[in-house]
Amino acid sequence: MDFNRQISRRLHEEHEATLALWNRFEQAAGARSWPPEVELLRRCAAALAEEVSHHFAFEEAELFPRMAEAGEGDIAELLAEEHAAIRAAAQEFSAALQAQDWQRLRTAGLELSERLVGHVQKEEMSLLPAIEDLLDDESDARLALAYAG
Amino acid sequence: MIPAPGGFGAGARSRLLPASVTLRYFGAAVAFHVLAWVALLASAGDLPRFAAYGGLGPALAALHLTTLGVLTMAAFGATLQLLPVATRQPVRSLGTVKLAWWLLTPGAALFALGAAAYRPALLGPGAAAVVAALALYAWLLAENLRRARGMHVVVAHGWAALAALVLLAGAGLALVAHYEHGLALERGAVASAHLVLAGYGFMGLLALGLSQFLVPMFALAPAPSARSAYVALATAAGAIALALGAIAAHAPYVLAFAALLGLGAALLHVVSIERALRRRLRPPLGPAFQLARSAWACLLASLALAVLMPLGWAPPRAAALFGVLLVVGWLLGFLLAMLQRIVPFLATVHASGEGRGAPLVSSFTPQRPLALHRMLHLAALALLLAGVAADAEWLIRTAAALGLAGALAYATFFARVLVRLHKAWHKEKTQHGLQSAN
Repeated sequence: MDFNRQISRRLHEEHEATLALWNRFEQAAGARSWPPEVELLRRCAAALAEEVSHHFAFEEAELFPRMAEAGEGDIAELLAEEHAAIRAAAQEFSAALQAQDWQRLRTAGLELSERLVGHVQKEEMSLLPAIEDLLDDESDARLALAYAG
Repeated sequence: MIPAPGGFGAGARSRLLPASVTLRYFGAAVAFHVLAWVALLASAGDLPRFAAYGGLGPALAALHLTTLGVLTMAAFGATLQLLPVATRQPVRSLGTVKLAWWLLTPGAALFALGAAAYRPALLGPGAAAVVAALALYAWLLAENLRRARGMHVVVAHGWAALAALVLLAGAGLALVAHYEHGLALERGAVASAHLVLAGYGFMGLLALGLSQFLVPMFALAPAPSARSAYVALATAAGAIALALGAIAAHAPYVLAFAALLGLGAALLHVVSIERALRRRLRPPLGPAFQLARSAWACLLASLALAVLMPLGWAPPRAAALFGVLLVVGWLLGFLLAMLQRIVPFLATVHASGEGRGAPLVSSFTPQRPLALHRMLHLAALALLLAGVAADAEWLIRTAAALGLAGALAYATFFARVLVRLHKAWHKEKTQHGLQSAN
C-alpha cells in the first residue's frame, strides 16, 4: 500500500527496517556458525530498544486513542496486547544477550522475530490504513514533528 | 500513556466474529472436502461423460460437494470474517451468520445426496436451503460493502461477485426445476451459464478481490496496483457478461473471444500480484504460496482451454479437463492455500486476550499434515488431468484416492489447530481459577 501521510510513511519505513534486520537475525540463527557477529546482535538490541521505547510508546500515546475514538478500538486493543508480549520477549532477548547465553538468545530471538513480523503484518493492514483516513494534514504534520522530536 | 489491555473497551474486537462461528464454516468446508473426494472416487469412471453431457450421479455430487460444501462454505466464513477488517465495518447480524450456516450445511449435503442417489426429489429442498443461505449471505455482504470505509478495490470486487451470485442462484434454481418438475429449458446453455457465473463470477471475482487484501497481508508485500486491479476487474466482468450473451446466442466465436478477454484479465491479475510479491518486505513466502502459484497457473490454463473449446480446437475430453483445472486446480487450490494461513492466524487471535499477547502463529501451524496435503493435492491434480486426458479410469481413481488422503491430512491440520486453541482456552480458564482462588 502507498501511504500519503508523513506519519504512516515514517512508521512504514521503520517496519521495513525492522523486518530487514530481523530477517538477518533469522538467517544467522539458522546458520551453523551460531552465535553470529556481535555487531548484528548489538544492532538487534539497539533497534529493539528504539522500537519499544519510541515507536511503541508513540503509537500507544498518540495513535491508539485516536483509533479508539474513531471506533477502531478493537484493533488498537489487539495491537496494545501485542506490544506487551513483544516487550516481554524483548526483555528475555536482552537478558540472554547480557548473559551471553547463546542457545537462550537464539530461542528468544526467533520468538521475538516472529512476534515482530506478525505485529508488523497487522499494523500494515489495519493501523496504517486507518491513520491515513483519521488524520488531516495539520494533525499529520504535528504528529510527524512530535515523532521526529 | 500505555493503554491498559481492555482499555479500548467500546466495541472491543467487534469486527472479530466469535471463534465458534468462523470455525464452524471452515470445519464444515474441511469435512465436505473429504466427502467430495470420496464422491469422486465413487464416480471416477463417469467423470468425462458427466463433464461432456451433465446429468445426475455421483460426479454431480462430487462437483457440488466441492463448490457448495467447500468453496461456498469457506468463502462465507472467510469473507464474513475478513471483509469487516478490510472495510472497517462490523458484520450486521451475528444471528444471520449463524442461520446461514444452518441452512447451507444441510442444504449442500441434501443436494449432494439427491444428486448421488439419482433422486431429484431431494435436490429441490437441498437447493432451497442453499439459496436461502445464499440470500442471507448476499444481504450480509451487501450491508458490509454498502457501509465500507477504505479498501475500495476489494469492495468493487465484492459488488461484482454479489451480482454474479444472484444470477448463478437463479440459474441453479432453474436447473433444479428442470430436473425435479421438468421445467422446459435449454439445459446445456443454462448449465454453462451457471458454471461461468459460479466459477469465474462469484467464486472467481471473490478470490481476485480477497487476493488484493490477503496476499499482501500474508506475504508482507505492498498491495497490488489499484489501477491494474480495476482494469482486471472490469475486463473480467465484461468477459463474463459477453460469455453469458454468447451462450444464450449460441455464438461460439464470441464465446472464445469472451474467454480470451477473461484470460487477459486473469493474466493481468497474476502479473500484478507477482509484481507485488517481488516487492515483499520479507523473503520467505511460506509453502502455502506454492499451492497458490499452482492455482494461478490452473486459472490461466482453464481460460486458455476455454478459448479453444468453442472453436473446436481443444483436445478430446476438454470439458472434463476444463472442469478439473477450474474447480480443483484454481478454486480449490487457492482456497486451501489461503485457508491454511487464515485458520492459524485467526486461532491465535482468538487464543489471546485479557492482556496476553497472541500465541505465535507457528505454534498453531502443524506443518507436517500441511506438507503432506500439499504433496498429495498436487499429485492428485496432476493424475486427474492425466487420467482425463488419457481416458484412464484407473488413473482418475488413483488421483481421487490421493486427493482423499490429502483431504484427510488437511482435516488433521484443522483438528490440531482446534485442539491447540482449546488447550489455550483451558489454560486461560485454569489461570483465572487460580487467580480467583488467590
